[in-house]
Amino acid sequence: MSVLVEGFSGGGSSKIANSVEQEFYANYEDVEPNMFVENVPAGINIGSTQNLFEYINYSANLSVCKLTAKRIAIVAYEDNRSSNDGIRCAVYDINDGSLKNVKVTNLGKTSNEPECIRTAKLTESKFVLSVRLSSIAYVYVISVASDGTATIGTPLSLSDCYRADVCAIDGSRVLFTHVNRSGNFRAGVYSVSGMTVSPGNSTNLISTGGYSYCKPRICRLTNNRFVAFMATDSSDNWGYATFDISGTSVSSVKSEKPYLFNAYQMAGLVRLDDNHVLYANYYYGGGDWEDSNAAIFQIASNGTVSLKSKLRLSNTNVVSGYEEEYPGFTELSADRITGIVYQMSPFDATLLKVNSANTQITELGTKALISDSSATTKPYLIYDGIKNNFSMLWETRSTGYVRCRHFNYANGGIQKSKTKIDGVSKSKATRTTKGKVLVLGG
Amino acid sequence: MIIIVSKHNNEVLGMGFILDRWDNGYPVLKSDESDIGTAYVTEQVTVYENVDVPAEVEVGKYCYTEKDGFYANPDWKEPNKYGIDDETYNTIIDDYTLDLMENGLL
Repeated sequence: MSVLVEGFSGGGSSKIANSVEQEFYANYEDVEPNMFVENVPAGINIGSTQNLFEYINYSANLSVCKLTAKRIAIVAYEDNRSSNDGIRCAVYDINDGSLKNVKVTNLGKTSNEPECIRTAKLTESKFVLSVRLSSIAYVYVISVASDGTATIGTPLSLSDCYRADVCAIDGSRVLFTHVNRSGNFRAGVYSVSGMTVSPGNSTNLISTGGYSYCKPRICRLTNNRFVAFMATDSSDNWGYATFDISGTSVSSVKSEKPYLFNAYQMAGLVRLDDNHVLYANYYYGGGDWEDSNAAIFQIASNGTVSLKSKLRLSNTNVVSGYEEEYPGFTELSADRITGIVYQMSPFDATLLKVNSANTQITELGTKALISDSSATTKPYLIYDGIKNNFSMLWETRSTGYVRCRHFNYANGGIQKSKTKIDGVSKSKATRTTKGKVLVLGG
Repeated sequence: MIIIVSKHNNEVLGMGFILDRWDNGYPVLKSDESDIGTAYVTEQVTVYENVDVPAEVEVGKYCYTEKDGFYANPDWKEPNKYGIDDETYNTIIDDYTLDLMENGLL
């Protein structure tokens, strides 16, 4: 079945790239001048804000793939209300505290709007892209040239797929997970050769009872072991599945449901080490895990998951991301500092630090970072590769832009963030708030 | 009983019988010795020990101060029966209402 109807080959990229570049500069001044907040936590400094490119106001159509410490690829379904709508791959280099646009490639149109987009790095110049149209998932290999030009390969189509997600195991294998209409959470390892992904077998890991409420959060623990948390019934009772991979085989190690907790779907999961994960959630409406929590879970060698510690976060806003999206919860540095971005406007961020024994979580700072009245869901945090530096990408609803701002965290220190955008200084204001200097751009 | 109260709005955040501390100083409230418990950010909460808690008091629904004791949380809102966020709930209501109107049923 052909769903990707035309142009999914990178054609017309230079034209698109040029128009985006013009918009990038033309709309820079449109960034709200008051996009700052009063209560910035100690040590978090706000850098410049960038409009990266125009983009449809839909919350599930953006994925960021970090190719190298300095290069990212953003894949987004873009609808500029003209005939140029389609899936774009925008490559940016993280350059001295800002994102420098390298190239935007229009990968092509789809027959309708994709439900979700996922990316996972294969190599420094290649990543896997998964999009879902109706109940069919398409998995592509995307190659990125040194000049940023993206080339798309032949898709592998997979039917009866909901909650589809991808994870690159290595340069030649991809873990593809999904939930089928019957509610079975499944995983398969598929081989990547050149620009194609070969079909393979997938394995049932846990029966959740329904795909509509099962939204797995998947975490790679080791080279061969993964754990997935997910709601396993319509009452938001969460269970888990621990599974191993070997070659192109997937084997279930342990699964239990409902088991872990009762929590709302907005949640994130990030690896701490080979047998610990950090989880954060928001629960709407009471229950045993009400409000926002962060928790450490231990995964035993037999796959059993158990709660090790739990912290009620001081921010009760909503943890990103919405529905099946969750990349707002991202590791920041090697110092066991993890950032959580809350999705509602203004964007709040909490920085957490987990102790080396994985027994305690400390809040390093929580408050709004961005007050963007048009902000919508799916903020991404990107560790810049420089200690305590990170960027946040988010999308906007009313203006339809992907935006980016750079941050720096230092333990109580005051450091001015960079305000350059593609080499152009745009710093507009300086404000002192609670003894902290914020250098504002935009 | 031990209660944990928000410094922000005096909302009761937790109730339990055992108070522990993490190394970072965070209070950890446990229901019993086998409970992992829940930790709270020290700067955000006040811990009250040996508090008589009326049966009707529930976490979130009530506030507490030493001066006034327990009182209903003015910010408390009963969750909708579907347990989904208000935005989604309202979107569903709006869409369904529009559907009914378009079909002449409303």
